[in-house]
Amino acid sequence: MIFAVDLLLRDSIGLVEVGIVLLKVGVAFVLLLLGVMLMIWFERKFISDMQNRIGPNLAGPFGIFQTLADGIKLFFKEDQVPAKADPLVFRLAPYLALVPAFLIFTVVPIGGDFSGGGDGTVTWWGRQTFLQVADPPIGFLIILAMSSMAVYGVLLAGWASGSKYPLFSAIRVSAQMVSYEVALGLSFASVLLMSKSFSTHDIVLSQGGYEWNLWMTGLVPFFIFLLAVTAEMNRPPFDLVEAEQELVGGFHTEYSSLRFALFYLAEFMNVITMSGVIVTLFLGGPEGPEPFPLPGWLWGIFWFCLKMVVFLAVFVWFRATLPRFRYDQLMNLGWKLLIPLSLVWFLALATLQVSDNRDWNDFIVLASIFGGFVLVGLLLKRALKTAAHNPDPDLSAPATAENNVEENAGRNTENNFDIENLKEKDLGGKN
Amino acid sequence: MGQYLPIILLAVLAVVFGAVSIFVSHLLAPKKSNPIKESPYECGVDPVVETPERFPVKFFLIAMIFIVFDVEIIFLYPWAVAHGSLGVVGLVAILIFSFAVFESFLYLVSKGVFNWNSVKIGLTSRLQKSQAEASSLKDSVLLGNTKFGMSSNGSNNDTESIRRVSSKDKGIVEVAK
Amino acid sequence: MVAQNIAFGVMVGIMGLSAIRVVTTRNVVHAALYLMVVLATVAGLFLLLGAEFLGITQVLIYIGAVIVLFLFGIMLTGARIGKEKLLSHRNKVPALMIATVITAVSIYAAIDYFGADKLPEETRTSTKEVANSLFSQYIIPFEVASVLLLAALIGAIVIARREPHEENLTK
Repeated sequence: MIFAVDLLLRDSIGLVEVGIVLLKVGVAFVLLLLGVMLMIWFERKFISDMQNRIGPNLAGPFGIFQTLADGIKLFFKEDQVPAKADPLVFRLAPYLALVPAFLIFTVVPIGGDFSGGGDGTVTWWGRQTFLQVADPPIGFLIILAMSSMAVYGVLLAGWASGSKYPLFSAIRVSAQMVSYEVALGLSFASVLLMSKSFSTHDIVLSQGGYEWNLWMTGLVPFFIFLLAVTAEMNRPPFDLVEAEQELVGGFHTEYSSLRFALFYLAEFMNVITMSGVIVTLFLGGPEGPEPFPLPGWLWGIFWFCLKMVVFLAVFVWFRATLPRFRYDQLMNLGWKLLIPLSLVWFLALATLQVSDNRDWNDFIVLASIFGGFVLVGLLLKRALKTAAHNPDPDLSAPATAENNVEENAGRNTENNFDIENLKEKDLGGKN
Repeated sequence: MGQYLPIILLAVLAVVFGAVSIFVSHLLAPKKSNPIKESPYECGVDPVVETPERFPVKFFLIAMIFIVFDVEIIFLYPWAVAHGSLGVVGLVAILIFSFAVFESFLYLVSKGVFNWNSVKIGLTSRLQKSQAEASSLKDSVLLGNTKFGMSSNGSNNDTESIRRVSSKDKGIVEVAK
Repeated sequence: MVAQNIAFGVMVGIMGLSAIRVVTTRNVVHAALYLMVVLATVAGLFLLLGAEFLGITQVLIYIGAVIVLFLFGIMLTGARIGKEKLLSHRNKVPALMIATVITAVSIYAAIDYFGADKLPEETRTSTKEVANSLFSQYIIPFEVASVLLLAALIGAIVIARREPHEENLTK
């Protein structure tokens, strides 16, 4: 029924199918770039409003072309590859950040004809299709896989720069992203439990009739997901990657010109796509009331965009109001609260689902779930108490701290940075 | 139907977009490099200390724990998708499975693996080694390396902060003395 | 099927080249990245065979976690930018011989087992089928896997701990 070019390439492909695919890919590409442009403008403007200042207002009406102007400016900036950098990896890293940001969007349905209990298909030139670039049966896992790929851009950019601050930022933030990915994956699992399919289109369909996962999963996975996504994107209050006060610019300190722009682009693209993902997974995607008749798919796009803008505003709001987390607070929140909570919540939901199917005594089921929560809470509390009073000194402190210092101090005498030489060279060049 | 070609197409488009932009920028941008520009960023100061090459093992530990949890999550997914037909057996299986992983998680927590507020511990062990007074510039920058993930409430080469932190915990002061 | 074969050829070509680069490159981080490419093409092959869940799991676990762990490990032990002088390829002749033998054995085993069998036209397996076999036929291995994960975590802790004699040395 759904025509698109398949990697397995067993279906016959007509010109129309190829055209539709090209159109979709092109539209997605342009939409994302335009979206980033508007998002950066929106963020700056919204934050200025919150901080009682005007913000960009010169380029175009309301300064809406400010991002474009900034982007064009970056084209004319010198592109530096530091002398101490690893040139290959340094050049590769921006792409590794950009591509996953683009790809998450491919599985997000941005609209569709759901009017009158429709299944979201739209007819173009006699072909039925969905308003999403692709709908693979494992679309859901593509989101997760791509968000785990996003670690590479940061980690490699930081390492390849051959500079301290990027390296600190890279290690710090990859540990952060990796930690919150667990919480992200576990709250994903609760959604799966309700929707019973990996396909994002099916997930949207399963939320039809306002049975949105937001309340069907009992709110908790949604909030865990929101927090985990914020941490995954390194947005405030989890923006330890670019903690300006300690790390200068974070992993892209050494980047300039367009390579820097690509990181920036990827960062904001992630905000957009992740808002789209939240809407798809928890808020019924393009579903919404249709107060007056329009072609069915227009309403879908309208509601989708509206919901998405709400989340974009929420992310900006986070940034404007919340102070940055300290690293230990970040790790505490992620590992000691979000992960156990999301795991236990998933198991509780699972028990409820299974008991629903086979008419068990509600009271006993609820009581045992409650008992499970209490038990887990007590166990965790006990473990935390043990950790507080009797921590393993090798594990709760970075074990190699002192060793590291000694070794590094020894090593640094060998290859000290040749400042004298550098100055002379520079002076010679100027003369 | 699996539809992966559009995804690959978009990936290619993204790469091409990046490459073309960088190429265009190469044509437009000035190329006036000099050794100072190419040296690592150091807040305007000449770089004195080499970029550290080694990191606390703790980050590695986090990555290892992550793999275990990632595998667990991957096992949860097929069950979550098919739980309707798997019934009670599946539920019991997944409960046992999750319990085993949760148990090891508790072990990690009780070992203090996720405790990052180790400023005190780091300081006292250094005090025990009576290295507190040795705080050359090089040391402090390098210690910054080992402690960059820690809380920011005190720079460790600062005797003031040592006093402040240790006075919070009298036991530690005694040990230190 | 033609297009499928072309895709297979391209992926195997990339995989082979990257695999060779993994062992010939003289920078450990580069080696890890080439390994990532190899694993990505393996995921691609899974997709081509219709094992989508397996393919994406390959990306999630191997690319998203294991290689990240490798990179962390490399950075932990000191990843230098530029060529490692210590990587001398001194044992390349025995290594090449062993690799050849292993390749020959696997090729022989594959040909011996499958012969001239052809892949079925429809090889796609849905995640539900994976789940059904995981929770019926393979339920014992599945539960054992949880114990394995537990052992892995404890192993991680043991590795991260400082050895007692090391502590004496630093004192």
